[in-house]
Amino acid sequence: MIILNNICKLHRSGDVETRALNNINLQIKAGDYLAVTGPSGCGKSTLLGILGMLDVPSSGEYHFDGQDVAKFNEARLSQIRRGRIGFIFQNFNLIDDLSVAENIGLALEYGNVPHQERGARVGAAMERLGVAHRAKHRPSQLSGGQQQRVAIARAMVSRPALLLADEPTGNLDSAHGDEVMRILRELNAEGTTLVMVTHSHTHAAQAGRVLRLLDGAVQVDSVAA
Amino acid sequence: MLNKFTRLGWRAGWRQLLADPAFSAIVIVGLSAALTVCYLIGLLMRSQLLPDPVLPDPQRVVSFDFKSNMPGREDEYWTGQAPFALYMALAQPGSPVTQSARVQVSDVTFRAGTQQSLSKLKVAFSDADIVSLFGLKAIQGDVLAALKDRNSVALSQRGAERLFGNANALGQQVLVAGSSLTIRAVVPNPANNSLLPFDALMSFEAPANSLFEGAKEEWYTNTGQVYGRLMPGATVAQLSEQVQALLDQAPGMKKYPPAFTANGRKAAFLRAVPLVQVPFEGPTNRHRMLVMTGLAVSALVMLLLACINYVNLSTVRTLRRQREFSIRKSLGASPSRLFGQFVLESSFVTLAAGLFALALAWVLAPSFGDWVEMPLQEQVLDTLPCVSLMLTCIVLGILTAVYPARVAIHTPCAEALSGRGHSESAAGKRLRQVLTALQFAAAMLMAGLAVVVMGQARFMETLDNGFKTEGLLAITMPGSANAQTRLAFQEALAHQSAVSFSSWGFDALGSNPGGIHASLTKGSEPHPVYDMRYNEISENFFSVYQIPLLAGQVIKPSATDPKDMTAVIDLGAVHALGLKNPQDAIGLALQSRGRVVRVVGVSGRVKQEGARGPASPQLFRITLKPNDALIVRGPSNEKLRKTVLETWPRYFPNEIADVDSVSNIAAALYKIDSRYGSLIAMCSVLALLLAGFGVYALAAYTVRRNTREIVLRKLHGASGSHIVLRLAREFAPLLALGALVGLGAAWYLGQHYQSNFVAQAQLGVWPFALALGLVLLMTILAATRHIVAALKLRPVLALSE
Repeated sequence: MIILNNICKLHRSGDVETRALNNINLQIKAGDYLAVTGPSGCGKSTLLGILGMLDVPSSGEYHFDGQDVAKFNEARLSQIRRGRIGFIFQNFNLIDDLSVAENIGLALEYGNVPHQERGARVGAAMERLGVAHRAKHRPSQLSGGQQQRVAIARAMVSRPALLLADEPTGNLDSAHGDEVMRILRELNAEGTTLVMVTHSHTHAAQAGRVLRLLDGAVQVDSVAA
Repeated sequence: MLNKFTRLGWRAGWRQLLADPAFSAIVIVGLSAALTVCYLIGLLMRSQLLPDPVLPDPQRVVSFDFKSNMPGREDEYWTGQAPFALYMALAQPGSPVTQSARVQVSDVTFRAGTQQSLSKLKVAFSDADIVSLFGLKAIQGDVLAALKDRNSVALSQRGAERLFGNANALGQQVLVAGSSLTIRAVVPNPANNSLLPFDALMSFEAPANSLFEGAKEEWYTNTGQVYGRLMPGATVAQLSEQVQALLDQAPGMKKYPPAFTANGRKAAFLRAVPLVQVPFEGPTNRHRMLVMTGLAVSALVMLLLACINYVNLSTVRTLRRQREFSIRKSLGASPSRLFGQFVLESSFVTLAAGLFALALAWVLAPSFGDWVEMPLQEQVLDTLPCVSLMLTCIVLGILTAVYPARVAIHTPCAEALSGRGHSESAAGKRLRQVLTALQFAAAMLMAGLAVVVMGQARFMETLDNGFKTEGLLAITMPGSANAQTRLAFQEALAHQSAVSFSSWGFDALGSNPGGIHASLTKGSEPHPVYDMRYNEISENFFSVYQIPLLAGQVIKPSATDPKDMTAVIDLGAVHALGLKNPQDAIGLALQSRGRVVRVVGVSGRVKQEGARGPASPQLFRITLKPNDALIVRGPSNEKLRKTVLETWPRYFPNEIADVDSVSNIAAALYKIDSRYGSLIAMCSVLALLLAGFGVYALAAYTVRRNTREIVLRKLHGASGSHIVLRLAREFAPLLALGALVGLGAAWYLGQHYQSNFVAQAQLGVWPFALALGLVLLMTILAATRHIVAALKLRPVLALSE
């Protein structure tokens, strides 16, 4: 599904150049559950941004479903992202002006899902994640755990092939964090490819494969025991 | 797909409006105020500039235009009128036009209706061809027949209503100047911008059309309008050449002194002007165009200000919405979708502002129309202006969306989503600063220009023209009144205690910048020829106007010897004649067209040309005959007016008294400048408010963005004044740049405006100092709240956010 060849990412600020990713080579098959770990500043979130086509590599090749998307412009990238890649963030990234149902429905606004079907999908996602009773509430009225569940509902409502989670339990207590991990495992079991950045060894151990980064490079790429 | 997108976009726009009501209110109020001004001024310009829609083929119908070329005069101009003698020449075989008509417009008193009450109507005395030339169509009766019959009248709907109320006017009788006339037609009211304004139409040969002797035959005079239709295939330039040739060869032109045509010189000029061009010709129209252009520029500057405000505030809000747009991009929103969302949100705002503007225009149109003396109320909801307004709003919506959309589209997604907000780029900050500086410049330009225009208008009103107008009333004699009746009226007034002095004249001094001019020579010398403004007055003239006599005295001419003519000349004429002092002029004989006038006195300099034209030398011929205007002075203006109005009906029972103060009449010359100057001043106040809104919001953004820095500085010992200075540095360079551009433009435009006047107010730097001061004050007031908030910031709260 995903092939990264010699991916590099440089950040330039005036005369200062920082190498966030350094010749990353990686293959991810459909249905994989990959955890990305490493110390702060090692390039985990940068890698996730490139995998999600939210950022473009400075050099290298990125093949997604057979297409080299590294040189694509924003318009084409958005086309590929639409409905195929879902995102879950540490800080939830819900839109405060929208209700829970509207936040989830946002994921279907840019795709080809017929209007009549959208309501049903949003409803189903809310039911599955246990937030249906909060459909009309604003994110600021929810607890952290509930907000993350809404974010997950938004990420999965378009049934993406790839789910990218950037420290999804980072702002949650352990109980809610475990709940979120359970949902992610279920989604992966249903066939969704999952790439998760995490600081937690416990959560990393739940993945089928662990990628450890250090200073922008792959240190360890191991299959979980 | 488009419908879904549009629906979602409108929803997003509506949601954004509600999310930040203060921002929305500032933006919509600002935009709608600017749009209202633009809309009303647009309606005014449409009324003034577009040809009357009922005119058939206005490119092929011309107005003939005369310009004299008297030796010794430098200030000749196209008058917008033509000699009626041209009409007679155009009626001859071989004429270069297919149709022609004369028009003379005057106010005429009618006695009509069941009460036989008096009403004054504006009457256009015309030849029958005017019907075809101007596309006049009757609602009732036959307008062509009305103009062919000297005893008939065609009324406009307005005229009919004034005379007969709701009763049917057709076939009714009216009394005009002692003659009974029949209403033969009723026609629609002329459009507000019609070149032929009238309440009634009568035949040019009607007895009520009082023309001076020789008016129909004289070539070297402006008497009224002459219109013609071009021959098929002919051009305006060809017609102009042909009528010039008619003028040059006219027998009547040969009686003028040889100096008029010496060395191939043209004595006068005649040209044809297509009707579509007429609103732009002549010094009065050109000045009106200049003032209207100033108004239009003011309106556009205000709109620009409002849009800059919106773009600035919208960009600031976009930076706060980075996360939202990054989320949308992560969910698959393409750049074009995001741009479209911005366009819809922005168009939502501009269209809302447009609707408010339309409502505001509807409310303000009557007052505005009264102010500019052009009824506009009926046009406010016309289809074309409304559609134009809405289209303008849509275009503004697109234009104001471009930059904020660009900011949103280029926001680095990953950073925004991971909570590392991206502040504006260096280029973005520079653009925002330039826009803010432009706001300051626009506000200063408007304020500076308003002070210049109003200062010049005030200066003109108080200009010393060599005569006093306070306490004087001007009474215009009816055209039909004979000399005996006029003198009897004057005599009756002289016996009233309310009247101290009275004098005859062509008109009230200062009411007519052009006037009649005469070419004079000294004694029997054929050269040089002196141009002087010619006035006929009676002996009390100088007492009435309190004009000092510098030499000689006012000596009446002999009542028995018609060749005895006496005159007083003014100091300007003394200098023009090359004389060293006023006494040297006493006894001088001046000759014009075979008639000799004796100078018996010299007055102080008199300037009737107002502030726009150079002062002409003046010659006041003393006559025993009454004239068209009786000027009266008395100890009490109120008693004077009452006495005049009580005495009038005894001598002119069929005429409405036309009485006005001489001050008002003189002030009417500058009414346009005064009124429009006030309008520009109102626009500048609005511009200041708009700029103030913008500064207020930007000050809020600046303080919010710099909260951490401000607090850290305070922790390290910065005082309040340090903080204020730090924040002031954000706006000071922009103010300076704005001052350079705005005051520079105000100076240039002010100079251009004042160059139209010979007498210019010496305003110095005050307009610009005032403009700068006002904008500084506005900036301080707008930013104060946020500066105070910055000074009160509690470090522990700010640093823990």
